[in-house]
Order: sequence, then structure tokens, then C-alpha cells
Amino acid sequence: MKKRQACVIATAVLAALFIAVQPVNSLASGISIFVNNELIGEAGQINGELYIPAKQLADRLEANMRLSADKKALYIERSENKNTTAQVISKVSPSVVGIIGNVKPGSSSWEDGSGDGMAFGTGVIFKSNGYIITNAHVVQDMENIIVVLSNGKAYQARLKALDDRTDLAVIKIDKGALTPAVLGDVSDIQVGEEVIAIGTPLSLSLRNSATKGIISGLNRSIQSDYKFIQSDAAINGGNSGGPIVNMQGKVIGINSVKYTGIGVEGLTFSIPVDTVKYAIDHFMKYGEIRRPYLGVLFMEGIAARYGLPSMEGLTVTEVEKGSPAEKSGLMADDIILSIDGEDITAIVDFNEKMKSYLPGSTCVFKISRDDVQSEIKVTFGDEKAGAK
Amino acid sequence: MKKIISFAVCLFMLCLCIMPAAAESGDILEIKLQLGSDKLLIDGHTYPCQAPYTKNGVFFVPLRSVMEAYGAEVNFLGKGKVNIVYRDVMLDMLVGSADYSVNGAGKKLSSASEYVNTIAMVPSELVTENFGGRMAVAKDNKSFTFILEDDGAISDFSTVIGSISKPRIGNSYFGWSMSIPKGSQIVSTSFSSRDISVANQQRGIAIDVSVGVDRGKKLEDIVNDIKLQKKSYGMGGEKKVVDWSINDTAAPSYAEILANSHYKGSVLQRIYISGGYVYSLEISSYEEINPGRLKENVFCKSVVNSFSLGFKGDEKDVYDTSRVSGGTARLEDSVYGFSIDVFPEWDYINDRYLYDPYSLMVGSDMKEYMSISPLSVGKVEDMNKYIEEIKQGYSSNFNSKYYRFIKSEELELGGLKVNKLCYEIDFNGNRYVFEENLFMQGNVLFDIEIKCPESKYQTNKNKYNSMISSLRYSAKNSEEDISRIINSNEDSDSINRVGKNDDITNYEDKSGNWKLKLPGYWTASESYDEMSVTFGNSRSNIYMSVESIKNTAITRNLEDENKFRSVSYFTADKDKVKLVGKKTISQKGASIRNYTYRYQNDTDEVYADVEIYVMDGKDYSYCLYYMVPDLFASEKNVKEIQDIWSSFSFK
Repeated sequence: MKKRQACVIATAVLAALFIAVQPVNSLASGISIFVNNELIGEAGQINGELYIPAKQLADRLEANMRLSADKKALYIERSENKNTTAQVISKVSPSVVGIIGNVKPGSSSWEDGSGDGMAFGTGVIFKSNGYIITNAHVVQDMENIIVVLSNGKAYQARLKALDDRTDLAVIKIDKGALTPAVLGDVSDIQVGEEVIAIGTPLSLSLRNSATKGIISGLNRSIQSDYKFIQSDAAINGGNSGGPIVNMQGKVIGINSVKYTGIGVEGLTFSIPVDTVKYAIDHFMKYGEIRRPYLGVLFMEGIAARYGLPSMEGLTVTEVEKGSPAEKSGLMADDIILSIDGEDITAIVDFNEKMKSYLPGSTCVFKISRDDVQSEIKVTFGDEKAGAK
Repeated sequence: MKKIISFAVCLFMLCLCIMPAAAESGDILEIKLQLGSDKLLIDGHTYPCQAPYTKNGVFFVPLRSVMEAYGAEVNFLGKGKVNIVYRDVMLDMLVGSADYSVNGAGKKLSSASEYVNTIAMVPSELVTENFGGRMAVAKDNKSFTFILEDDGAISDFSTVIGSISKPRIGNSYFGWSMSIPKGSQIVSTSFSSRDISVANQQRGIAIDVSVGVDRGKKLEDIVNDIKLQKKSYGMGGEKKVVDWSINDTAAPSYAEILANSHYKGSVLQRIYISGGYVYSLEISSYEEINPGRLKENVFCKSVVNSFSLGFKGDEKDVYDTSRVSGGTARLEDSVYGFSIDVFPEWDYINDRYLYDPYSLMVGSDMKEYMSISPLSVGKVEDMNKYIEEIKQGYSSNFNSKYYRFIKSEELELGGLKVNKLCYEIDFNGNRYVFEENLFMQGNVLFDIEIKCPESKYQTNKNKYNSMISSLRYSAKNSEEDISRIINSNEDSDSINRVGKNDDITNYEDKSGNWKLKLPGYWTASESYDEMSVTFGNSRSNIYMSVESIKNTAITRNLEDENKFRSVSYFTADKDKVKLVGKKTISQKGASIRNYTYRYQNDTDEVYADVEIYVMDGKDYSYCLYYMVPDLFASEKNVKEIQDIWSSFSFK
């Protein structure tokens, strides 16, 4: 809190300041300047008046410095990039929707005993004509899917595409001129960065609830096919499918309660935005995720299984007859070290790497067979045409 | 209960959110365009678009930009083909042509659509005529606006929360309807809508209607079944009947029962029989009040008295709960990932979560059902050989008196290549047709077994085929999971096998001083008190048990039925078991008492002969019995069990 106050004061002072830039040479005053206790430089002194180096100050405050065209004025402006939490929420909220519907009779969620036969979750509008991304587990056993927008209006939705393995699905409402969320980039995600989760926890009456936290870790794999972002923004049942956004209001992930166990606190897992973009791209192009098919079973090293740093590679335990793996010469007991130059140490690495290929793509596997390393070219098949 | 309340709150909040929104002008979607301008304006936001123009007085607008602003799904399918989905409208068109179709019906535009800079442009009438809204043209004849007043927002959530806005609910397939108190909601509907549960939070009552299949029972029989807790009829499980009566003068007549139920609290139940169905209407209060008070309660009374039969649907004031269409209901089974159309009268008939998670059994009862189960994982190299083996297995294990093979054929059902085997089985004079429908799904060989009374088979056989055709599979369980289950069943058999191979094996019980010989594929399991051993043959469903009791001053003088568990079991269940013969024979150097029983279980259709042999040895007395179901009493099986009995010896 203190830090924020200091910052606000500094900004206020700056806004009022008009710092003339004069040729000031060797006017060292010996006075150090601290902003929030951090040394940024030394003040100059002319005729008893103190002068502050504008550039350092602006940088420290993450502000933009602009000299007017006639070079008679210097403007220091705080970047609009860093929004307040309230600004972020109001910016993103119109793109976040509540999803409610009935649990299909006979489905596993139904048999779990959901009592009144209803289920709900959250979704994110990603196209202005009503395309919404959410978790697969939110909608897969749902019928009568209804989407409630942030303005309280509700629309009937239909399921367009669903993928269990990424736990992502697309639903569609027939409503135009919506505000799509801005999807961020993996490079926008950094450990320690503040994030906000928006969703429909526990009840639809809590629609568009927001919670705040920080990114606790990246590239987490928790018994899942793909990697996750870990944060401590509190989420609950119903938050599933909702966005986790950074302070620029960009979606950096989709929350999934599916992977949060009972008794686990302060651990929120979100599907990272690159996986979300990958799924959206495939869903919109093919109506499903088209995965390359190899036809092998792997075993990862014990280190990888316990999440220890590992350079062991993936051991092939079984090669299916007639599979692309067999055709390219992969054999049981081969150790896959890298694919197209990227190290592979765990099954989740393999799955992540597979996102960049389609059925029919080719790539180069670096393998170790009887301690001799070699490279083989692999042409992937189609997972659907394969045995599974 | 809490959930219902939370949803009531949630609905209230939802309404609060919705009402002010409805008053906003934002309800009306306005898409503004201008001839020659490449900008489209919605709610003050501009979006780029291909500029509209007029040609022979027709306004041409950019198809994708306008339709996506409506909120439609626009799919360009290549070669000029375009598919648009919006609410209930599915429009297919070809750019360059004036012909198009809406939900399959052909239509024609005043001018053909065309490409401008690779952007599809369509006459504006395509939009307004098919997707609603209107087009307003400004006086200058240059700018124009698509105005959509109804943006499809819904305010009636009754389909989701099950709240019923109509004064009555009914079911057009099963033909019943009744009044319900205001503020009621449907909390569950079974897949075929045979069972409907309604809750009324304000009144604190639940109303359940459930329809069963009549098996020729009268109201008195049903009341008796409920009193004796033989069968529950309805959804509350077993209940303790406090009072009951039969009203013959009412039309239709009904039985009325007042009861207490563990699950439902106090219950007022009415049973009607009509058109082959048994209707159960239950009103229950979660509070433990005297059930008689339900009968006095004005709301409960008006509900039960409003129940009527004969509802056929399409009545203004009746909410129809039917989930039946085209004479079938769709069963979605998540355990398997199967969904299939079945008769609405069918239901799950075994508790597969307890016994067999990979076998799905639906039917009216054990007399007519369909059972779906995986047989093996892995490609079957020679299907004909496989079928031939099944046929041979049946003809060697089944008694030819009760079993008749009909035919095997190969069919294409809904894209599935199905090998169908048909045979007939006689259970105690009742003849049934069995079908085995074998098909591969991925690497798993599945079997859909159907059992149908012979009298109904000709009428039903095509329906069974269309049910199989309707089967869809979403492979929720991996093949590894399925093969693990199949193997675990086989493993438990192989662990208990008496021999490593199928040859005749000696089995000796040293503590009880007895032994016998039997083929190695029989299994043996000892009872927890080590006093009896049960032998089974999973191929023939025949089993046998040997019980030994130490001779003491007390046991020596006991009657056989008090001494041996097996004898007491058969003498106790007088409904199912009849003594048909009792004699003393001289064999194995001893005097042996031989009881012959007939076991008849009409519910599960098990009919079997039971032989019990009781004999006294030096230190122990023995009871050996075996049970041979009629169907499995083939020459080979009967000889096998008799040989085992012959080989039995004791000290």
C-alpha cells in the first residue's frame, strides 16, 4: 500500500512539474535522488535551485517523455499501459460471459448427483459475432446452454467444437457487435506479474466476479497433456472457462478448476494463451483439433515424472504396427532427445511440441539408440485415421 | 435442497440484471452503411467493410460484414459456396447465383450475388427476408441502416431452471397430466421422461410421477408389493405403509397409500393402471409429519385430484415433459460414451456400478432387454471363425431341448458392420428370441445382446435394428481401460482355477477328509469359515458345493436342514424351491440321503434342478449339492457334473 501511495504522490508532483531543459553542465550537487527508496541519479543545482534528470525520472516511473516540436516544452506522461485493477476489470468484463445449462441426463456429471440438474461456468468472447471459448468440461455434458452477457442479457448458445485433452471448447451465440477479448501472448506472461481472474464462481449471481493474484509459475504440468500457468488468484467452481488477464487487460489464460484438487489452496491453474490460440485456430479451421499421429507409447524418466529437471529424453516403449513411427524407423527402447531441435524430456513437452504440427507434417527426431545418437525424419499420420 | 434455494436466488438476481437492460436502447441493433463508404457503424463503433453500392436499384451489401454484425456464423466453403447459420435459419448459397436455399427450401434473389475485390456482395433483401430486421434508407438515398429490434435475447429461463410457467404439466407419450402449484420447477427428468420430479419450494413439497410397465397386476397386488416392500413403484424407494385404500368408484380407479419413507419423509401416493402402464403419483414432504396431513393439505389434495390420463400433447395450458420422439427416447450413457435410441418404456435394469461397469443393460425387465458389452480388445482376424466358435460353444453347452439356433447374418446398420446371431431359448415354456449383434468399434469388439419374447419378436425386430443403427460412440474410455476390466474378470477366474490345464484334476480337502476329481477349468472358492467349498464352471453356469460338519454329540442328532446351510437354504425359500423327490441310496459304502429340488425364479428366469446328497463319515458329515439350470443341462454338462459326483469320496 505504501508503495502505491508513494507512486501516486510522485505522479501528482510530476504532473504539476514543468521541467525546463537547460544546458546544464557539471552542476553536480552531490544530492542523490531516490524514488520509492531507489536511487535514480544525482540532482543538479543552479543558483540554489535543484534540477532533476528528466529521463531517469520518467524511466523510473514507467512514464513517456516527449519534447514538444518547438522544443520548448517537455511532457512526462504516465503510460496508460498500466491500468488500475478496476480499469482492467471494466475493460475485460464485457468480453466475459456466464454460461448456464442443464446437465444431460445419463452423463457422468448427472450421475455425480448434481441434484437440480444444472451446471454453470464462464466463457470468453473471442469474436464479435458471438464465438466464445470456455472449458470443455463446462459444456460437454450440458444441454440448453445459455450465455449471460455482462449486461445481464441472455442468449441461447450451441456447441461448436470441443476437445477433452486441452479442456477447451467453443460455443456460439447468434449475437453480433460484441466486444471480443484481446488475447495476449505467451511473452506477456511473467512470474510475479499481477493477474486478475474473472468468472462466475459458485453461482450465476456472482457473475463477473474478479479476484487478483500473481503468476506463481509457468510451464506447470499436473497430470495433464499440456502445460499450465499457475497463479494464486482465487477461483472456484464456475470460474472454469473464465479468463485470467494481465494488467494490460489481455487474456493470458483460461482458468480450469478441473485441475485444482480438493484441499488445494492458492493454486489456480490456467490453460496458457498459446494453447488457447492453438485450439481456437484449429476449432475455427477444422471444427476440432487435428493432431499429428505417431503411434508410439512413451515412458518418461522418473525425474520427469516427479517434475525434477531432467535431460533423460523420452523412452519409446511400444511402436504400433503400420504406424507412422514404424514407417519412419522408430523402435522400442529408442530414446527421443529432441524434435526439430527442441529438447523433449517429458510427455508434456512432446504434446506441447506436437501443437506445431498437423497430420502429414514432417519433422526430425534426434534419438539415442544403444547410446548412439542419430536423426530420423518422421512424417506424422492423422490421429483420427490411426487406431485411436 | 440448498441448491434449489441458491438457484431461486440466482434467478432473482438474473431477473434484476435483465430488467434494466431490457429498458435500454441497446436492445436494438443498428448497422449503418453508406453507399461508397468502406465503413460500417454499429453503436458508435466503426468497422472496415467493402463499400456497398446499388445496381439496377438494388442495394448490394458485404455479406460477411453485415451477417457477422447480426451475429451469424458465416462459413465460406470454397468455390463460392457459403453457409450461414443464424438462430433457426440455415442458408446455403453460391456467390454468382441468384438461387439459394433456406433450411433446405429453394429461394431466389432479385439479382445474383457477386464478388467485388474477392468480397461477396449480396442484395440487401437476402438479409432482411431471411434473418429478420428491416432496412431503413435515408432521404438522400445514400445511407441506410439495418435495424434489428429483436436480438434474440431470452427472458424465459424455464427450459433451464425447469420452472413451469403453465398451470399443468403432462406427458404426451405416457398420456398423463396434472395441475401443479405456482412456482414449481422440474428438478429432474429421466432420459425417456418416464420419471419426472417436480419441486415446490414455497410449499415444501416434491411431486414425482413415474410410469412403469404393467405386468398384468391389479391395484391390490401393487399395494401388497409396496406394503411388503417387494417393489417400490415410484421414486422414493422402499416405504412403510401407514394406511391405504382403493377407490373403485373414481374414474379411473386408483389405490391411495399413505407412507413414511427414509428417503422422502411423508408420502401420499396414488397408483393408477391404464393402457399397459402403472402410473405412480407421489407427493412428499421432506418434513417428518404424519402422512395423513398431506391428504388434508389443500394444495396436495388439489394436485392429486387433478391427475388425469389421456393427455396427447399440444394443449395451451399444459407443459409437455415428453422426451420421446418418433417412438423412441435417446439414452446417453456416459460410462460408455454410447448414445442410442431405445423404447421409452425401457430403463436401466442392472446396477452396473456394483457388478459390471462395462455392461450396459436397458430394457423393460429381464424378459425384454438390450445389453451392450465389450467382448475383447484387439482386431478379430477371422470374424466367421469367431462366430462359428460362439455357435459351437452354445450348441455344446445348451440343452438342445431348450435351445435352437436360428441364423447368423451380416448386416450394415447405421454404418456399423454387424454380425448378427439369432437363436431361440425356452425358459420354462416361455420362448424367447436372442440376438447377438457383434461389431468392431475401433479395436474393441462389442456385443449388443437382445432378448425378446418370441411373440413380440416379429413386430420388434426391425425396431431393434434401427436402435442399433442409431448407436453413436464417443469412446470415453480408452481401449486400455476396457481391456483392463475384461482381463480382471478373466484373471479372477484364472486365479481360482483348480487345474493349470483343462485335464481332470484331483481336488482334496484334507481338513474335511474328502476329495473329488474335476476338469481343470472349474474354479473353487472356500467359504470364510472354511466349512464349504463352492465349485463353478463359468462356461456352463453349473455350480456345486461341498459342506462338511464335524460330528459331535450335538451335530449328530440335528436334522439335515438344521445341520447344513445348503439344505436350510433350499428348504427356506419355499416360493422358489420345491422338493420333488427324497430317497435313500446306497453308494460309496454309505447310506446317502438324496433330495431333489426344483428351483424356479420367474423374475430372473432361472429354472434349475438341484440334487442334494447328505452322508455321514467317520469324523465328518457331508452335504454335496449341485444346481443345473435347464438351459445348460446339455448331455455333455450333465455327464460332467455326474462324473464329479461319482468321483466324490470321503472317510
